[in-house]
Amino acid sequence: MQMSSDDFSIRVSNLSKSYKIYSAPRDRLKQFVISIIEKLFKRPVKNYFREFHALKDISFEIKRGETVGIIGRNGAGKSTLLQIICGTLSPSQGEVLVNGKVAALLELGSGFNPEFTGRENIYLNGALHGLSHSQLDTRFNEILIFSEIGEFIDQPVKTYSSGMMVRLAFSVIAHIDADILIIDEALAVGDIFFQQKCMAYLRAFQDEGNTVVFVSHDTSAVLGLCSKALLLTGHAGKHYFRSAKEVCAQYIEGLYEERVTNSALIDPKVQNNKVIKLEEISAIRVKSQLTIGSVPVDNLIRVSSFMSEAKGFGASGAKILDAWIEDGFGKRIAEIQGGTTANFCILVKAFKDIKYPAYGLILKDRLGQFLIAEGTDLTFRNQSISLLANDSAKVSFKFAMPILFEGEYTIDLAVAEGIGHDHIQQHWMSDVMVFTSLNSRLAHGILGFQNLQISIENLRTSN
Amino acid sequence: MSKFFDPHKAQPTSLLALASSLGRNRQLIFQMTKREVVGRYKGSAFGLAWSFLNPILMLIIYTFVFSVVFKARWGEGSTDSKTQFAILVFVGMIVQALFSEVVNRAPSLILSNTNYVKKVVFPLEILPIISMAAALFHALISIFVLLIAFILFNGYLSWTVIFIPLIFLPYVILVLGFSWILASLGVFMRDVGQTIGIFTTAMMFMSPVFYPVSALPAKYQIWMLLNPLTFIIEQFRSVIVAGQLPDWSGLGIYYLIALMFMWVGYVWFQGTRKGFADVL
Repeated sequence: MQMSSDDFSIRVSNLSKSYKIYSAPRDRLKQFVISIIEKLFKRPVKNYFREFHALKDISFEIKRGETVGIIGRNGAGKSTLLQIICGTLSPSQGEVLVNGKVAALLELGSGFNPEFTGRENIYLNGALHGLSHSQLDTRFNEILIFSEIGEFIDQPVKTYSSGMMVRLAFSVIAHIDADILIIDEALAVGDIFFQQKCMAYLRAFQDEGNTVVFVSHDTSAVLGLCSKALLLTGHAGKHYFRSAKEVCAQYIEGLYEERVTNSALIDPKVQNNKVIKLEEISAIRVKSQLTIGSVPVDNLIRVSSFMSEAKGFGASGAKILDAWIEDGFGKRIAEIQGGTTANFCILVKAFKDIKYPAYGLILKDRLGQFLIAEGTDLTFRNQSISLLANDSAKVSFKFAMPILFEGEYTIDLAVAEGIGHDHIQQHWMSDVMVFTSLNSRLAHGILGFQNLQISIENLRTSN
Repeated sequence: MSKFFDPHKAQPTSLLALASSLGRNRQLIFQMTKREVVGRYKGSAFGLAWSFLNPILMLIIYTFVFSVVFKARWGEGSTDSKTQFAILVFVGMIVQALFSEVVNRAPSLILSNTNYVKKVVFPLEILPIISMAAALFHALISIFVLLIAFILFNGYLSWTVIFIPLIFLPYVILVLGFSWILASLGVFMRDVGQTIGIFTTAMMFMSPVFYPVSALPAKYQIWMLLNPLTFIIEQFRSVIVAGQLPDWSGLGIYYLIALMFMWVGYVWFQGTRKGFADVL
């Protein structure tokens, strides 16, 4: 253990949690009765249970301002650990110290009373976190707006969808002045817009110097948000607390190692680390067989229509009216294959003269990270594309649709005035379209290569 | 005091800690009690009016059954009016109803709120207080109905009714103690919840609800006083019907025992709550 200092948020020392498992209910009774009798006669007490260690000898310290991801397989003890940190579950051994006000989102709809309305639950949860009624009165509107629950706020929470529930829960814990946020995989339930909103909130929360602890199976989310990560590996008691990058790499490695050892794929004879050059193999090649396959296009991406009610900001000198993807014949399409040509069109109307207009298109993933950001700024720097007041412009971006990993992506559009970094945003619209990538060939990553051709040459060594 | 917070520090068990928890969570207690009271009649046409209608209807039924059907008389040689019997029974029923409402619910208080145990840090010790406060609300309305009925039937009201709160308070304290113990036991032994209804029904007949203690043979009367409801029911009757002052020394002893019992119940609850999350 490091020496104590005061700038920590959470300190866990030698923490263990074990459960007594009885194979039959009557063993529990036997244990109870017989142990009393054996103690009475000063005989050694016999145990009728097996001990299951959910956590064994865990120690780590989270500094103030750090964001830490906790990853691990199902059953590795992630949720148990969070519950112990929050104080809802008591450890078998070891201790936890917390420095600051904790707000936790332990599970979907945690702490909500399903019979109560959303409004009542906000007050109830706020009171649990030490806020007075009048403090909650002043924050109520902010919470309501953040949650996007709208008029359903006066309906019982049991009638909410899981998405509404998590929106409400997150909105509450976001508004109670916590120093430490603890979030347990719950966010995955919200839709992409809410996830991005939560991520934006979490980033702002981090920037204020607060602490976030975040449980996820999703290493990309951990890498995107966290500086450090804790990997739990189950009851063996091994745990690693290092930089997020190292820990995520180790986690993924662990997943594969397990699969590989399970299927015993590796021929033990090949397991030496000698470097063999291609020429060496070619020289002794007897027969080779060349197989070339172009990767079948199988990445269907659904394209939503333009959402004119999406949030926007800017100086309002111009407005984005519409956006769509069209095929080669100028027809709007709602589906496109990854890798094929997309013609992405934006319709913009100017309300004043814009001398150096710049149009931009951003593709974001579900964490709100920019994957691709393209603009007209550089391309058209030397040409006059000035837009006069009340004129409209149709801007088309023609590109090969990227191959996307399965999931949802959103589009931001922007029209600005100026050159280079000296921009005035006239209209920036966030999340105006959603791309949903179905049946992607990608098993990992975010993007795939376009026009990918793979050739495989089997080389046979002569003995 | 350390500025760091240890979420697993042993729960405080002193009466002072209880008082500070009450103060800290007063908003929560008030909100949840309100919810509990209003929620009971939610969706019904009369709404909160039911909490008035219920005791009035009960009183009418008692009056009819005991004065018309049974032509019952209260004890030996009494020359009570027809309605007096109903009033006397109603007093007993108010005290008994508070007991059975709180005690019947106690074993399921924690069980039905697993969310508050496992998912948030909730001051669990206030759950029995909320259930008591809701029951007390209904008892107070019943007492109000009782006093009105007494005036209507008899045309007067003794000034000694001002001692009713003084008589009720130690009873509330004692029943709270029960509630804490049962709430905790109910988590570890589910059988408690099954048997508690039998226990409270038995208590109804073992308490002087439908008869005065004096109706029993003298050698049983002393045993009857071991029942915590007996003294309260008798005192209640004596201030309202007979217009007598409370039995001060008896009340003093009752206060002491009630406080001790409540403390034991609170200590038990605080000591065992650590294990709730493990078995739920």
